Amino acid sequence: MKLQTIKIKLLGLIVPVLLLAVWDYVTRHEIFPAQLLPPPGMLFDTWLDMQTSGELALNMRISLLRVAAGFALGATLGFLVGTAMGTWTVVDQYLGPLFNTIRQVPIVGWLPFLIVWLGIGEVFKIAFISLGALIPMALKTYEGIRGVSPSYLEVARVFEFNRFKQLTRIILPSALPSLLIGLRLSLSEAWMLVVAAELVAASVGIGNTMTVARRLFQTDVVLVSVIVIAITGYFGNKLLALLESQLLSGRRPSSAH
Amino acid sequence: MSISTRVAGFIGRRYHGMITFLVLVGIWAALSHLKVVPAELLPAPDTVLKTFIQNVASGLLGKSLWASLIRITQGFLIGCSLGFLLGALMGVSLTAERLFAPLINALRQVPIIGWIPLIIVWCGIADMSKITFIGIGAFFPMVVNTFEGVRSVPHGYLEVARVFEFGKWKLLSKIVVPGALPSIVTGIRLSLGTSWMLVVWSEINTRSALGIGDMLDSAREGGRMDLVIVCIIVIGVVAFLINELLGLLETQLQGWKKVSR
Repeated sequence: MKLQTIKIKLLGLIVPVLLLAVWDYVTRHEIFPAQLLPPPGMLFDTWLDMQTSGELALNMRISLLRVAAGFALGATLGFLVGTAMGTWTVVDQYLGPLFNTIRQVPIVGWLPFLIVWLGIGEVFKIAFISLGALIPMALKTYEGIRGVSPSYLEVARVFEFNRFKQLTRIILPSALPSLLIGLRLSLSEAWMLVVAAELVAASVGIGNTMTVARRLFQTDVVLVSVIVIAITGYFGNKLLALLESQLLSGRRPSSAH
Repeated sequence: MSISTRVAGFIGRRYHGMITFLVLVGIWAALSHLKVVPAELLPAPDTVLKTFIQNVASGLLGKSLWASLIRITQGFLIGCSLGFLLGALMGVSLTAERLFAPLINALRQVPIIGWIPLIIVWCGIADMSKITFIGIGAFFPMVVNTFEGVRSVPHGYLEVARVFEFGKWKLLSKIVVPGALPSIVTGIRLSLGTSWMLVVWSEINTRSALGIGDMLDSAREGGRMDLVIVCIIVIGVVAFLINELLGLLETQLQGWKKVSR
């Protein structure tokens, strides 16, 4: 069995290694100018430079802080909105269509609007990220709450649970899978939006690093930034997935998506 | 049922949303007419309406929208078809999956928006970069969903094909593709939705030609909030149409399966 898994892993490495080889060959023989396509070795050096100069750490820290703030705010608000819409039909009836209308507009469309209202400072960035994080969380919370099995609700009725107990003992635990998926979507949205906001209106942050490097044609810096962003996003996702597996262990597989 | 009864029923079930909407527009109008919020930040609803009509009449809105739609079509077709082919290949062949999945999953981690500086360096700021960007955005949802769709074809169906000794081609066309179709349509919907968002974004970022995103950002720079709002609404409407129309197709194809949007 172990040999099998090793073989599978090796297969997976073939294409990337091949690409790396082609990349190295192309840059070595100057088929593309180094400005367009830096050699792979150079990328490592650039990354090392950026690390040791502290430039990478500084910018990443700021970007991560923004993501954290926007995500925390947006996910919390999204959770509250989703719970409100899911629990009280009245709220759903009146707010639902409005919410659905707002979410039609791709978040990036709101960017110019928010810039006019909030300028290009931190408030704007956090607001922008929160808005993006809010929507998936609200949706998933709503779905999770609405998807609670009716038989569970009946049990609550039989035991004469009051609204609060109903919520905390039955509805929220039942909605947990959806909630966790909502958190993941929310985080990845927040991460994407931090990059977007920084590309357009920032003086520090990884997105800004990329923009400055682009203007100076420092393709190596741009590539290193892209890779760092990808790896960070990946680990953020993995972290939440870990949380998910911990909280959801021992459940019967549900059809919740 | 007569038409009027149908319409009345339709409105009757949805009037809550309309009430909220009307109240909001009312508050909006009050805020701007009473100058609680300056006109530069929030133009009155009637101003927005006037600007909308103006731009439709002058054809500017139409032309910008058309330019964006052409871009999105080009990028979407390329990205979507490549995504479909790779996804189908990976779904059908275990070897292909093992070869490509790690790379695809790694590339997927980059938030689409993060690709833009790189693409601008490589492709400039003309249409090529926008189309490439849209293509990449359209590619990933399509690969994932086509792959999942092909893999989700119940093994029982494949066994039936074996029993009836279907040739490879017949297997694909009669069983695999129809079985994967709901996921494929989901992939198309997500792909197209992402493409629309990316068209707007790339136009905002590389203001080099006509387009709805370009119009939006010019309006912001020129301080024309009324035009900004018009553009946002148009962008939202197109996104809505994409979601609704394809969602309807999805529901038709899936029948009993629940579709979440």
